Amino acid sequence: MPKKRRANGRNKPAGARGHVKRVFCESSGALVPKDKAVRRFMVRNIVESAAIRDLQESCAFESYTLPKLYRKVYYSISAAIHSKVVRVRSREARRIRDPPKRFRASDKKDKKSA
Amino acid sequence: MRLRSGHVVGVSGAANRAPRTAAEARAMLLGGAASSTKMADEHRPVFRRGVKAVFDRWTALQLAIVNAWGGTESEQKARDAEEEIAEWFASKKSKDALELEDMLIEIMGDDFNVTCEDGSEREVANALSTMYEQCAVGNYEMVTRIESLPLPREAIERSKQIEEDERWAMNGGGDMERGDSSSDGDGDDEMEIMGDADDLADQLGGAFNVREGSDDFEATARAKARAEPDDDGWCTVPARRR
Repeated sequence: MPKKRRANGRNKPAGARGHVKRVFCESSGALVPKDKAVRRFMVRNIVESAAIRDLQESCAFESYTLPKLYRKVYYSISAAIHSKVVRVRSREARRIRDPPKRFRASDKKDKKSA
Repeated sequence: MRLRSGHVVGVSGAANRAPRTAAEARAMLLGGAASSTKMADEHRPVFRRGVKAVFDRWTALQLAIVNAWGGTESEQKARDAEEEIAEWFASKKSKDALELEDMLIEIMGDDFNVTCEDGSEREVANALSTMYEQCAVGNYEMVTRIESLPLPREAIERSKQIEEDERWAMNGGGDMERGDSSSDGDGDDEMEIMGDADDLADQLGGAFNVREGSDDFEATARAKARAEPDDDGWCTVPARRR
């Protein structure tokens, strides 16, 4: 039977392992295999941008840098599509397994091949 | 504006200039960060050094490299990104900081799965464009200044890895317990600096006591037992949840 995706939308090599730990989806709470979930790292200021200035002004220290939040979030596929983290690709485009090319990178390649 | 009486009202001169094109408006908003200065070849290596220095001090990127958020080739990816940025400056006619920011967002998102919501891409983009401007006229002051800043290694070491929520661990019976705790060597344990307001307070307390590293728990435990101010008049507030 033809496969919709080569690795079934996961990062689990065939025959490598039987089971992969599940993680909770950030927005829907669904249990998703860790290798299938959409992973994103959020880097955020602890203080919202509007309040930063007020805080800096009233800070007793000369050059105090505010700490930041570094957080890893997992999304289930349906939640990731719903919240527009990832998009559905066309039947043909689904087959492309290379990472997305940036416009600069493609320019460079053209130059090298020319 | 000039009135019929000959009086001039309003602001005159450079500040009065209204942007005619979108690019001009952008340049004005960014404080003239967009430019078309050409860099002489002799300044190029210094600029490359500067780009490297800026990237080395970008905590989000360094964390991504250290924890291999972009897979096993994260370090290579970072080097490629550096090269890409340097080449972008070399080949582009107009160096628009906004465009550079978009590129950085793309690099962080595609290569490292990082979403920066702290505006650090903008900071980096602006710093790089200003640095380019200065290097192009042979002014290396900014490069040396950035190189003299400390690396964020300490911050990375200080950032604590907090185990996944206890709620999850408690759920861990059955399926989840079945022994593949090291399922994919992604280096991707939950890293979180805070959970709630209490933790935030603890974190801030910890941040002021830089000398008290995150590793000496015993010291903090003892501090809790004592709970008396040190030489500077500060007491260490230990983290509550472990």
